[in-house]
This record gives sequence, structure tokens and C-alpha cells, in this order.
Amino acid sequence: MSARVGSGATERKEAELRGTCAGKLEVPPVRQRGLAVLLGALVLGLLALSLGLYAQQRTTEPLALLTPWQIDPSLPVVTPQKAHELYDLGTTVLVDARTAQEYAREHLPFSSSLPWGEVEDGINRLEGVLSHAKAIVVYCDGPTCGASFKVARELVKSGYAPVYVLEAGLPGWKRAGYPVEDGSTP
Amino acid sequence: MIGRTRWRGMALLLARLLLGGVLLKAGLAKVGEPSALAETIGHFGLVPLRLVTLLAVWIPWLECIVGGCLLAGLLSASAALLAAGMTLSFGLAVTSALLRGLDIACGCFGSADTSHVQALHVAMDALLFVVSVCILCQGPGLASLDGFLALQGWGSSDSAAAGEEDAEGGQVFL
Repeated sequence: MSARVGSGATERKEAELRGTCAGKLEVPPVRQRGLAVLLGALVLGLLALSLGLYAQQRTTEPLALLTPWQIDPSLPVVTPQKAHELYDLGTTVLVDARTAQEYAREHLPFSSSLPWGEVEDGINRLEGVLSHAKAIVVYCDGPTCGASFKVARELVKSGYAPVYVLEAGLPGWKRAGYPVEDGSTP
Repeated sequence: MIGRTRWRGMALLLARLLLGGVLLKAGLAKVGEPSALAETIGHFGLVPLRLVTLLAVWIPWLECIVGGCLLAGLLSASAALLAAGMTLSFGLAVTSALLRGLDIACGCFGSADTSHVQALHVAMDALLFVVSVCILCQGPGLASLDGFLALQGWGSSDSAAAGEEDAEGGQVFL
């Protein structure tokens, strides 16, 4: 009899223990788990942003955050309207930094082709034109196209000034309603 | 004899280490050069120019933290969710660049990675996305901090399943 009672108590204890473990390891409802996962992701995302901003504060050359990005902030950019005003003066040279094939397809009126891939030869070739310019405007395919900035940088290095980059490139010029030409020669 | 649960736990562990390792490597390669990453993001032409530098500052640290969490198995589901978001975004960005005929640098592993966008990058992102979703749905597998914390009774309810798996696997974390 006593053996049976003892056995029953052990079973109850085991049952309680199983219940406790089951309670701990129980998979929570989907919604609760989803919220926990989202909250965790938010914490990780904010932690990463905080570390990134902190690292920017500690660096010697921090990036300008939340300002329109441009490849080289040291080079002045001009809008299509401003570029058109400079072009109307007649003393501004427009330089196309895209490939010769792209230039042949279409380009700004009276612009000169100076592809980034042959920038040194191109600057020497155009020396006669560039040396008489009061201003130079370089363009390519838009704000995310690096060729215009690279060519502009080389022109500044070669002693030409002022050199501007056309903000929105050829697409922006066309969007502003200004004419383009086709053919391989200006 | 190794049980089915243990095989599943080992497969998830391998998947977690692969994903975490790739993300941590990518993050560490980019974390010191946000301006180069800004240029890469800018070339894709998919985000407003005002957000380019913020993303360039944020993404490498996010990759590092998510990669580290996945390797350790800490907040695995949250890290897997972020990893899924990142790999999906990267894959879509590369696909968009390919469809537009852009010949631009991928920048996947910093400026030292000079490879241009190609279909291989899309395939890699798709694979990592699938791995992320598996970890998100199935849990971190064996040897995770989530599982260890759950067994100690400190873990969140989110990590309970991982604890159960580690318990079945025989306390492999310790």
C-alpha cells in the first residue's frame, strides 16, 4: 500500500516537472513571436545606425548626411538652366565625358567629346579650344555617372578653371527642354 | 544514431554560419570606407540622393551586427529577418542594374571587390535569401546562444524552440 502511495507521489512530481518544462519550452503564439522578432530587428537596426553615426563623428572626414549626394563634393555642379546660360555666353566649352559611341548618338550642341577612357590624350587634343574658354561644363549621363566628375577633376588638375559638372547630365538637359544634336562631330 | 532533429539542427547551424560569415565579411570590408560605398550606391541610381550617404554609413554596420548575431546564434530570428531584407534588396538592385544594362561595380565586398554586377551576384543573393528565410522559420539550429539562454531560463519566448532543439541535441553549446 505504502509502495503504491510512494509511486503515486513520484508520478505526480514527474508530472509537475514535465508541466514546468513544457511551460518553459512551449512555443509561443505566432503573433507574439512575430512581434518579438520585429522588435529584435528594430533594436539591431537602430544599434547599427547608432554605431555608424558614432563612427562618422570620430572620423576626420565625415560624410555630409541627408544632403544630396554627389560623387565629388569639391567640384561645383550647375543646373541645366545655369549651364544653358553659360552656353549662351558663347565663351563656355561644353565637354561630353561619355564614350565616343554615346557622343555620336546624341550630345549637347557644340560640345566636344572627351571620353574618360582617353582623358589625357583628349585634353591635349582639345587644348586649343579649352585654353580660350572662360568656363567649362562637363556632363555625362546624370548625377550617378562618375565620368563627368573624373574628367572635371583631370581638367582642374591640368590648370583649367572654372570647371563645372552638369548636375543631371544629358537626360536633365533634355528634360529641361534644351536641344541636342547627333553625329560624331560638333 | 543521430536523430532527425539533430540533423536538422546541424543543417541550420551550417546555414547560420554560412550566412553570418558572408555578412560579417561583407560588412567588415565596407565599414571603413563609407564614401566608396556611397559612390557604389549612387551608381545604382535607385535611392534618393539625400539617402545615399546615410545608407552608406548604416549598411556596413548592419551587416556586421547581423552577421555577428547569426554566428553567435543570438536574436537569430531577428537577425535572419534583417538578413532576408538585405539580401532581397541587394538582389533586386543588381537585377535592376542588369536589366538597365548598367556596367557598374557590385561593391559587394568593399572597394577591393572590383567585380561588376552579373547574374552570379543575383544567384548568390537568392541563395542567401533562402537561407535567411529557413533560419527565420526553422530557428537557429544547434549551438546557439538563443538555445543556451532558453535552457538557463533567461531566453525570450522566441528562443524557446532553440533551447528545445539544443536540449534534444544534448547541450551541444556547452
